[in-house]
Amino acid sequence: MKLAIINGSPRGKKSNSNRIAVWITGALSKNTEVVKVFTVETKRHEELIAKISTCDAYLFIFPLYTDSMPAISKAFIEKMEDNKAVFRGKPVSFIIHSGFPESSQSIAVEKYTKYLSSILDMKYAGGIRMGGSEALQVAPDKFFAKKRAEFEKIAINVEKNEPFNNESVKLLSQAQQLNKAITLIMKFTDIGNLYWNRALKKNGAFDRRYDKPYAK
Amino acid sequence: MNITIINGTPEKGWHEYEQRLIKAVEKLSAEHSVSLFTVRDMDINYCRGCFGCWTKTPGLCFFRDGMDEILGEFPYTDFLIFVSPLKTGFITSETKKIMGRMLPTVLPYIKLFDGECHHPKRYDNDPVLGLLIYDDNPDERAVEITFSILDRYSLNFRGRRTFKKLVKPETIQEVLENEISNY
Repeated sequence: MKLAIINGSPRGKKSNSNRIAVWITGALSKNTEVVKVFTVETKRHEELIAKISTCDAYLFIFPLYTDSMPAISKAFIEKMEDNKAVFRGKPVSFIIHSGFPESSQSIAVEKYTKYLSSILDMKYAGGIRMGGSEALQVAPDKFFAKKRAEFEKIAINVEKNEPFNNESVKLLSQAQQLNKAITLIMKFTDIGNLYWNRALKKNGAFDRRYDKPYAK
Repeated sequence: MNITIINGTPEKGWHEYEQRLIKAVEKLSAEHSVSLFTVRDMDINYCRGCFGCWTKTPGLCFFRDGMDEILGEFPYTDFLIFVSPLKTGFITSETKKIMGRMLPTVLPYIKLFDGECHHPKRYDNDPVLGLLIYDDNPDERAVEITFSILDRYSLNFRGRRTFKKLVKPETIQEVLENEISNY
């Protein structure tokens, strides 16, 4: 079988989406050929559509960007519709991950992915929405060992063209909303700022963090 | 009133809608300061997700392009209104491109608002956020999903209020006038 993995992140090969894609690809059997495309290559969308046109199944991985898919991915989706004959009847699944810790922030766009599948006359084969993915940028592999194991099970589901197993969907979409303990920690500590302050300081920009460059 | 309108209409089709929008802007300009930005005619890059506007040059994107014109108005605008046809059941990539490039208008920090994580605002103004969508044969589900995603966007945008309407060519002017008079 030939599987297209459509990476919808503006960060392309350096993206969290790609880290997930590598886990998925590593779990597939040798009989599955993977064709990876990156929607960040906006000038090559026509060419990329042609490249994946003969695939048997499609897996779209993208980060939540301003509450839906990144614009580069919307542009790619529009090109898919222009060429929808080549996708008709084929299975498509989605992995949506967000920097925000709550996976519930991706519910609205997940509904869109189901609807989109019908617009493209494709078969919606499953979806994952995972919160807290920005940690993928800095955390070591072992920090994500459990999630990686679940993505590997999802990879097998994709390969066998079967529905995503409920347990993996549930585990990967955990932290649907913040629990009481985390809410209290967020409310009374500076924990939500630590990562960003560290980055600002590293770049010598901490003192300018509240700058308003467009205010005259 | 300062009004910023983002026209995310793509190149082909939608001529009647666009002409009505231009006429509505002309009429509104008699009383208000209105800027109409047609995205497809502007040199605007896609957000590259580097977060440089948060961590390297706070509030300023890596790209120097047409987005500077829109962001230059942002701190003073009373209305930020997106206008888009439905394409593949959602706003166009042109429209989404601008929403993505609005990232420098919020801070990187995560705060709880009504128990949910969101970004605080960078600027002090409190604009009304609007979305006008159109389609010759709008699918009810597409409208519902698009509006629900805008509701999510508005939570991060944190404006004074939000409105969202499905319009026809002949209702564009009336909808804009009503919403602006409701400020």
